[in-house]
Amino acid sequence: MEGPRADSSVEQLFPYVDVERSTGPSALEAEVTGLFDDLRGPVLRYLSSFGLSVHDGEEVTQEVFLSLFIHLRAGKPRSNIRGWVFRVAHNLGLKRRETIQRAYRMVSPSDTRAMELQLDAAPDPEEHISSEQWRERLLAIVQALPEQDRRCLYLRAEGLRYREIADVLGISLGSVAISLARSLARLGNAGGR
Amino acid sequence: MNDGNSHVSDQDLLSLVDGELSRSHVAEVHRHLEACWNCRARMQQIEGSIADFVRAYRDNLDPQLPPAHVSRAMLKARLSELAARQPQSVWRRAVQSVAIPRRVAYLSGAIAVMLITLIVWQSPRSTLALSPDPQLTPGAALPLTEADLCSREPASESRLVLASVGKRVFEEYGIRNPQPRRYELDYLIDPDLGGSDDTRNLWPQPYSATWNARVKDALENHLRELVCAGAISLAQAQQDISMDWISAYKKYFQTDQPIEDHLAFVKDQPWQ
Repeated sequence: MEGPRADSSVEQLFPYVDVERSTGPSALEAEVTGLFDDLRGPVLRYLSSFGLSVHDGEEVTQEVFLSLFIHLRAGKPRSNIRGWVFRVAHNLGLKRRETIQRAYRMVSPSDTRAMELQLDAAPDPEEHISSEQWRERLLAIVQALPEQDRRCLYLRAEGLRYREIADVLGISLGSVAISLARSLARLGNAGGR
Repeated sequence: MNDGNSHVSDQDLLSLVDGELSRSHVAEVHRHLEACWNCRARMQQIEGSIADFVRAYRDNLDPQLPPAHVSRAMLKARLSELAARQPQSVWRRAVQSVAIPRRVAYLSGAIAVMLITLIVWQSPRSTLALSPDPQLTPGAALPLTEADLCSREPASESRLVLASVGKRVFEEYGIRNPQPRRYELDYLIDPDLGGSDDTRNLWPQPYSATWNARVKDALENHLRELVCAGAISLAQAQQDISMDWISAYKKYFQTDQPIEDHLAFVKDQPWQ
């Protein structure tokens, strides 16, 4: 993430604001930075489900927390900030992926990896499976899940409750429960070690 | 994983281990699990799948994450720059920057009015779906006193009813394939106001309507506070919310429309 690009990204995000310099970080800046410390890893991991590179994931994460700053500065609701962060990350992640796909017409790296893993993932009951192979097989199964199921699984793994997942993805509570049960059944059907 | 009719479904077992099942259904499922080795084994298998997935998920992604200090420093710099900017002139400058010819503006306005008229004209009578059918969902409550209710903590999270119960409620309302974005199974009298898990207390509530489940949640919280403060009786709260929850909302919040805060979190789209 080089400096000039980051600055221009902020300008694109907030093109109509006046510029004045301040003296030091405010309490709100400190609060948002603290939330970033807590949630950067979970958000980056979740964004990987969109097939974004780490670099793009980092850029989107920055945009999420800049948006959070604006949201809080405007005095908007502070309830369930974690759910809000994931919801914004979800939407920005979708937009970023669409932009990349439109620009380059290329398959995302994680999709390629998923395909490779799927090719390697044919189970052989006679074969002793190492923990590395086991992990790759599980990840291949996850990558083969419908997109919504995969996202439910990732969000739940990051500790979101069903209501929060439903809000992030814009689906019903029951759909979250069905999706998770379906995904875990597939993982369970992968067989014992 | 086959479920016999008498067994607990995978979905309900997962909701149980995730703490998402309603209180009375938790007891019901626990009773079944005490007697059923088959379902206990399936629950352990689900727990095992969760553990395997979490381990694989973290082991795969965590090593790929770059160190946090670089992006943290970047964020701090950008926040500092952003904090120095004044947000007051956003709209004015935005309007000034978009120079729309007057004729185009009038034409756009006319098209918008026509579209809105068309949408309103073609919309189904959605208000009919905002309230439960009193024949199917008159409301049902547990025999609790104010003291019983207020001595226990309100549920902090939503709870799921058993999948089979939910399916029955949708069927009673003639909805065979409920669209996830349109409905949510809701308690007429919330469990935090003593409502039971009986199907007579459940109905499919539109998820995205103005008078939606979020707005009703706010009413439920408010009524509970009033009951526990001794301002109204539990029976009064249960009667008001089960007779006509929208009228009850208007009465207790002194408004004809849902308060913005009760809708804001759902509707707010800060990235646009």
